[in-house]
Amino acid sequence: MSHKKHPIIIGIAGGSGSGKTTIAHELYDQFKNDRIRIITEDSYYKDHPEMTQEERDQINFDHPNAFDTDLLISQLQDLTSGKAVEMPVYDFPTHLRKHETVHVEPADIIILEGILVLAIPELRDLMAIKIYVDTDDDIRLIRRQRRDMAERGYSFDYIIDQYMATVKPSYHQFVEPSKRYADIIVPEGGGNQVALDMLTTKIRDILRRNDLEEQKEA
Amino acid sequence: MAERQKPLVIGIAGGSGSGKTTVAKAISKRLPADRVLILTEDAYYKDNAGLSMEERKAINYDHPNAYDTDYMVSQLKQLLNGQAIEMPTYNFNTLTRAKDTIHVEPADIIIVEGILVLASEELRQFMDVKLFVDADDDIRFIRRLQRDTQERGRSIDWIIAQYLATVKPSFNQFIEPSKKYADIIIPRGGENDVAIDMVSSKLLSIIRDHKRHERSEATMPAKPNPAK
Repeated sequence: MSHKKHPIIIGIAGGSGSGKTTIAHELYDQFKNDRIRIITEDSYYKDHPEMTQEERDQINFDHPNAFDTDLLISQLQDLTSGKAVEMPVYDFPTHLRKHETVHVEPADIIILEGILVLAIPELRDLMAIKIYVDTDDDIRLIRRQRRDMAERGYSFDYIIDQYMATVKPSYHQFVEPSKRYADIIVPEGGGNQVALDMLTTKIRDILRRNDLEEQKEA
Repeated sequence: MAERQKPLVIGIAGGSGSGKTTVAKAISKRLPADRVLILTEDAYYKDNAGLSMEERKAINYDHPNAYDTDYMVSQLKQLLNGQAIEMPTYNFNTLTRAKDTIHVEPADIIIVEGILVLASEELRQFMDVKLFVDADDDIRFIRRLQRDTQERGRSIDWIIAQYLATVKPSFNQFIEPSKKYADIIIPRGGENDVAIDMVSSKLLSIIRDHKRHERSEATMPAKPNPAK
């Protein structure tokens, strides 16, 4: 049974609607196999069953405190040491963790994607490559508004209120400053073919190097 | 005769003191020397031999007009066509084009490096990859100050005066806006091993592809040369 050696974590951060999730998936699609996984920070929102729906609606989802970072760190450490994890699943309309989990096997490459992944030092320390996806604020708001209405069932007023009350301030306080920790800044995220191509080539190199090392050890 | 593969052109721009030259050299060092060449925009300052020394000193060297971009573009085209060039050299003490040229053979990878290379549409159209090296304004200022006092023997007052009069305004007017053309922005320039490694990996894979193509061409029977 092959043991995943030297798994590396690639962090992709950026504001909401920047295209970071898109580029994470585009990268994954280049390989689409069990050697690469995507872990989404969004899956690790804290569970608050003790609160009412109204109280949960008021949570600041863009603040580091909203995330169960300890769980995320320990699961990433498990994956990098070759152990499978049960990744939590989050339900956005109700703001609650679901009962089911997603079984995730270790892999050579783990893409960790989320707005605050570069803002948290313990997460940064686990990353071999740190990427920040940068897109104009207005474009990001338009994308977020479209997505939240279509996928998460939020109302237009809630989206704008939430954006002004928590998303934008958190962006300036936590997300944007994390740009300075990036190794590479990718403008525009999805659709940036040159960046996608360069990242794909790098990942391919890493996989090839891992293969060579495994052959030597065999 | 092996058919020439089209060279890959990679543009590297950024403010003065951003680390772009360091990045260009670091990338180039990781590639086989005969497969890469660097075209430095600084070599293509206009020859102002017809002006007096006073007039030459008064020129804004951070403005697009200071560069002989047409000449740079034409030499780039020659390299892309597989022809060697005689690259000009610039004398920063006399502020004129020097007599010596540097003979440059074509290569698989052409790095085009300079503050304004992304600001020029003519240069951009040849680039397959566009990089912008970014650093905080104050860091860039400190580096430029250190470099200009050590390498070019200028006084601190002169450097600050030039910086405020021409370097910074040019950065805001021409260089920073060119960031939007970049495919990838590299922060912390010369110390950024991860970015340098990633770009180099891509270029190495292109060189490997070219070599593979050359080998397969070499084993094929010779084709009659079409009339040019």
